[in-house]
Amino acid sequence: MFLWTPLSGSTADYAKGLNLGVNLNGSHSTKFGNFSVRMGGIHWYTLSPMTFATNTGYNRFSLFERNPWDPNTKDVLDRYSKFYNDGALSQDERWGQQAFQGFIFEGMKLPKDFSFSYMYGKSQFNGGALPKPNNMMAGKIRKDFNFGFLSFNGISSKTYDDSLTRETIGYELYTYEFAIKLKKIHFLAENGIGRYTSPDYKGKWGQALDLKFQFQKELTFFPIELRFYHISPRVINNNGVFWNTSISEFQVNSANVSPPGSQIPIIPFASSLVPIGQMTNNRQGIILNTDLNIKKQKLTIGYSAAQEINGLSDKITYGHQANNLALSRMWRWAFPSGVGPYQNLSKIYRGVYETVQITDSISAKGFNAIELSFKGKMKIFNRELLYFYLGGFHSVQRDFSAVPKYSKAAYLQSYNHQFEFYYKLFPKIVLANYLGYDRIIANQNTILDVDSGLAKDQTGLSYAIGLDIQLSKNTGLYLRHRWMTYEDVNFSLDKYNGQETSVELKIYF
Amino acid sequence: MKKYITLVLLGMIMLSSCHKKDNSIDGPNLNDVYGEFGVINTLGQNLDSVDFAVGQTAYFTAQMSKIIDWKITITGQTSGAVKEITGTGSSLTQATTTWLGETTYFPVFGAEICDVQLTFEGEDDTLTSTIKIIQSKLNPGFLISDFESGFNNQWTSYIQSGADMDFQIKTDASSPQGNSYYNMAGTVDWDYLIGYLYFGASAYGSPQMPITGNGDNTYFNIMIYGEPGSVNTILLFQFQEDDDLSGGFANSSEDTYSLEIPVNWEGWKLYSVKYSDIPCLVNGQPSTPNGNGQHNPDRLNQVNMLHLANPVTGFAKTKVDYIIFTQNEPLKP
Amino acid sequence: MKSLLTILSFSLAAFTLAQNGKKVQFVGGARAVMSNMDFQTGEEDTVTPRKSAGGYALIDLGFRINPNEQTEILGMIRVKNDLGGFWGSNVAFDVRQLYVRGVAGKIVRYQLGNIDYKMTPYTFYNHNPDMLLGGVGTLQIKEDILNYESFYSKNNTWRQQGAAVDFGLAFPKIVKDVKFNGFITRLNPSNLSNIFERFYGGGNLVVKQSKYLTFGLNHASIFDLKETAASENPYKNAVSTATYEGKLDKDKYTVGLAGEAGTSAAGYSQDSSQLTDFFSNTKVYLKLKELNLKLSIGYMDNGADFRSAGAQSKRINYNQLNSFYSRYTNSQIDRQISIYDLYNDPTLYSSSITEGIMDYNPAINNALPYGTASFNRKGIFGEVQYQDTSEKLTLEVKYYQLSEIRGQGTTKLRKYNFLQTTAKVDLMKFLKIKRHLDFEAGFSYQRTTRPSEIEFENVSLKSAAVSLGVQYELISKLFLLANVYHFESSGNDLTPIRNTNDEIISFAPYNANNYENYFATGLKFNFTEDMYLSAFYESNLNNGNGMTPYTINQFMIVYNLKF
Repeated sequence: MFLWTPLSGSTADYAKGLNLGVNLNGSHSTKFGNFSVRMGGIHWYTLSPMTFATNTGYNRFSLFERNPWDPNTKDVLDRYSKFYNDGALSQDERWGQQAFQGFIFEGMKLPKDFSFSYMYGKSQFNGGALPKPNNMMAGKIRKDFNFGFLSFNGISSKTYDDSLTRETIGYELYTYEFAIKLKKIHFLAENGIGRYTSPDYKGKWGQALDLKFQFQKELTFFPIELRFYHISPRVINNNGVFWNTSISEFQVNSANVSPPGSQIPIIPFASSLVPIGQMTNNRQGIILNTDLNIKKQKLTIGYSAAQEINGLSDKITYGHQANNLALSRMWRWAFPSGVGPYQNLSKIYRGVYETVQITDSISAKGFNAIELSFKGKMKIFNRELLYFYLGGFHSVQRDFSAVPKYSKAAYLQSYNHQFEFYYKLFPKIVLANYLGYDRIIANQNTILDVDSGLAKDQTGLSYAIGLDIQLSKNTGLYLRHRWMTYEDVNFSLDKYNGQETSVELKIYF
Repeated sequence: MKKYITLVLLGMIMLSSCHKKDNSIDGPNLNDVYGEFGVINTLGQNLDSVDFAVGQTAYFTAQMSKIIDWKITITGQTSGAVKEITGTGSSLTQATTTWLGETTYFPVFGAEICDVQLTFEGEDDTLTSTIKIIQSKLNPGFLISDFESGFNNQWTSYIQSGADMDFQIKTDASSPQGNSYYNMAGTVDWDYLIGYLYFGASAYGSPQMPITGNGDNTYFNIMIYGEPGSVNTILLFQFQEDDDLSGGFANSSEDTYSLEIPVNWEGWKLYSVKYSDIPCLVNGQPSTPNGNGQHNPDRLNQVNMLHLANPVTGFAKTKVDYIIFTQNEPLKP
Repeated sequence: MKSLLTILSFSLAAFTLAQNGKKVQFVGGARAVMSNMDFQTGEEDTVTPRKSAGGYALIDLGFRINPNEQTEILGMIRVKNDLGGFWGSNVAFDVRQLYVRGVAGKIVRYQLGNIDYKMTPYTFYNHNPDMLLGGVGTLQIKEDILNYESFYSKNNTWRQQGAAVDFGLAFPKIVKDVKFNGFITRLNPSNLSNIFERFYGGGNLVVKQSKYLTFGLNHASIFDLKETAASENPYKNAVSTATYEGKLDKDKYTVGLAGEAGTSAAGYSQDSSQLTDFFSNTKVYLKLKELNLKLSIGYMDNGADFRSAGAQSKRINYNQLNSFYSRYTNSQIDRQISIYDLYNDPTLYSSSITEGIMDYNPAINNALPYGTASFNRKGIFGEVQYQDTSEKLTLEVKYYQLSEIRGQGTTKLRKYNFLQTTAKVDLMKFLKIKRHLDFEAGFSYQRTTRPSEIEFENVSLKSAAVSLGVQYELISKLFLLANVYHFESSGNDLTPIRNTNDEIISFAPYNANNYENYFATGLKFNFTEDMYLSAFYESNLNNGNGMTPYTINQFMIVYNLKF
């Protein structure tokens, strides 16, 4: 339950709510296993990555901006030192899970190490309290072994295109997932088939495959993950770890049936320039990831090369790393699409993406990325200093390319650098600093400005400073101030600069 | 002891007396409801000619053989205005048929001869008569405009430079009251605003509009035309109050109340609202007024009429007529 | 010296749970419901959605606070989240109930805030004249939900807001004890314009003269507070009654006489047509103790102008639209409230005391539309109640043969026959099996007649309902549920049309050619006594009075718990 006031100056202006709903749970143990049931919701739940989960990525993100789910830490520097040590943050139960309302029936510790779960209700993509049916059904049967597991998973979602509930829209996806964990190599895979159907689109089945080979350092001296994925444009499932970029009709109808109540952030439809680890449908590619630790310096490197399976879209969507969060807060409490001076910005949850039109013929575009994350620490005046660097170097071009094309041959080049350091000024105060810089360069085969006749050429710069102050055991005060500037030198209206200050007082009890 | 018990029991039983046969009946006699229909006394009326302007009223009489749903339809021979009076019963009396000169379907009645028709639900019988209106009904209140006297130069208007813009007073037979109305039409594909017309109190010779009532007994009334096939018009009225009686309006410190009317009907319709029910809106959302927070129609400094439409919906058109503030009740034209 | 009278003392434990030494306890319940509904019409219907879905999860969280041994405070909030409302949307917060109760000086019990109250069947009583079919299984689940939602209890109380007190005196001679009860509730606040502040208050004293004789005086009155509105025409409905019971209790049997009689007055002070009338209701009974059999026969005579809002308010006002599938067919005709809706839709119900005459459905209950307190009825009635000593079989039969006292639109009077029976069988005990097997059957029949040679005066209306319910424990705690019922009504009547003063101004022909069939089956798992999960499928066919039939199929999941 939350009580909230937007600080509008009115003593009567407050809101009360129940962010995570009403959850009912019950369980019953028998000699055949443990059975439990959940109703209501929001329940945080996961089946398998392809069917019902959220993407957890490769831990390459900036820590400077705090998230709603970031906890207070025992030591004021813990949030950053844990990221340094483990490569991941303490996340609450929601991390990697999807929100669900409805009915969940689970059976655990069944004979022969079997387990199952069955779900019927709504994910946030079936949201909205309209009487028109809009439900999903999902489940899995899993068998555990000493060396891993095997599970069969399925999800099916159905709603109606018309208010008379005659014409159905829906998708379904069935996969099997397994993990074989040997001493020196782990093999994880999920493979399945899915399809989308609507009154106007009788979808055929398509394949969704995600293979991971994780070579342990005992074999290769440093851990390496080699990943291959292939997700057919026929496979739709916004509840899984991949985005839909292939069927715009679904996007439209999904949005139509959702409000009120769902607050679905609009997921970009089009060819998306995504961070490494974020998959989309209508795409196949390889990803290589590794961690290198040299004394106190830690480096992770990610590489990906992917290509669309079919050429479907004449648009590319991408983000602006340096000012992404600050820009998204210009449209607070709403998720508008087609805003900005050129109506090409769309707000998503804690971010904004931009859409650029391609002006030559549609092709199956290629996407490349190299991402670096560097973490180091030292002591200055006997106080700890942690410094992190994130770099992203992406390109989108007409065809597949094994290596990124950092030239005008690419429709879009995207470079970003984010440098941040955290210095423990006093035992309960951390000084935080952030410097972000991004460049977006489009070529002549994208939309040109009417006046300049030139393609997008965008630069964003952001500097921010902040303090983390531990007021008491469970209470933290977090201050941030940002100076930012942005300009597209060829699109004269596309520029802004400004400052943003935030104060966060977080108390746990 | 048993004696006591017996006595009490007998007393109780005596209390349990019975109703005797009741020869009265509840409700009307069934024969009045389901018996055969016939007209006993034909359609009559108290006046052949009525002057509504001096406060005269007309009423009609008739007597039927049973209780029935009846309808009187009065139609102006010249204007085509229609007044309907309906009821259920076995007779028409002054109490159920009094006509003050008001209109059910626009236009309003003028000085003219009217046909009167009495019909009965489920029966073919029709009784007819005529009545002459010497002067039509007067509507007390503060009239902002009925557009009969042309454009007041002290009004402020703005018209976007869109396509097919047509903002002007027109005079034709479609006017619901008098002969003229204000037409607003056009296509503006980049903005919601198509055009506006502001009625400042100064156009009426004083810094505040001459309205005597308070917010709870003052009604704002306007006749609005919905263009057939077009439901995209939004009429926005802003009521700006001179709360500090300075003779002007300051948005930062005085009240503005806003009335948003989606014109989603076809034809003429009277729209009436109690002044105190008009909310303060900011960007379409309820908000707190900037002034004294009270509805003060007697301090109205200006009434703004804006014609809006979603730019993607194309051509928008509406007409308005007879904008008037009334006291104690909505306008009954 | 022995005192002449003794004040009866009470303790808080007389009406509350033991405190367990805790000053604050959490009480309440939670429920989650999911529903998928399918609606089919018999004729071509291109307008009505065929399917609908919905659900919610709610929690009623109550804080029971005992600041001392004599006082109890209960505040309960309801948080409800509609299915599909994510991230705080479609969430409602309400105060479900709030009261303070206690014992003052160990003598006077009081309760302030929400009170569940009743007096006698003719003064203040929540009759349930429309729910004629009971049943274990799915109907039981649904009835429990709607009773909980509307605060209906098995002992016919109304949930009101106000205050109640009671205390008692014991005497050494002539009478054993006297109990006093009083209440006052607020029906509506003033709008400081034309609506008065309206209250409903009253009380009674019950005198137990001896083990042979008990009698009481009761009064209940709706009244407007003068000068709380700019009007000189306040409303009042006062009912005064006397209750009595005399009995002879022997080893093998008890024989007694019991009843209630009284008067009422109702109307606005300035109206010339103040309604006044009286009623009486008397029965004699015989209880055979060894057989556990109770037989009674009686006579009732409720005047045509007898008005008692506290006893004649109905749980459902039939002058409302259904809240789901309220219209159907291409003509979008109203879908009338059916037996199925009575079980399926808690939002149809109200806990308000209504001073006017509420609409009723002649097909469902024409004989006693306002329960025992129905006005304009007289005649005889009888009742048989039987339960064997091992509670294997419970049987209840009621029969009324009534007539109007004053004709409606004619001097001819309607006559009513009304039979209602219920049988419950515990087959586990009968068959001596290990698992629970409960069976319940109900039958109800009504006939209304007003013979006449004049066609529009002639009334003949019959309705019958039969219901069967089974609950079988498949494995430990898991039950198979099955229910069927059939309801049908045929014939004609004239229903009165009343004006705002409740005077009949006309009559509407009512023609019934209606039937409903219901079938349901499902499973129910009892985690504990107060917590269950049930999933069931039900199908309801309604012939739409022979004109516009429709079928509602519904799959429901219900998760219910109390704590």
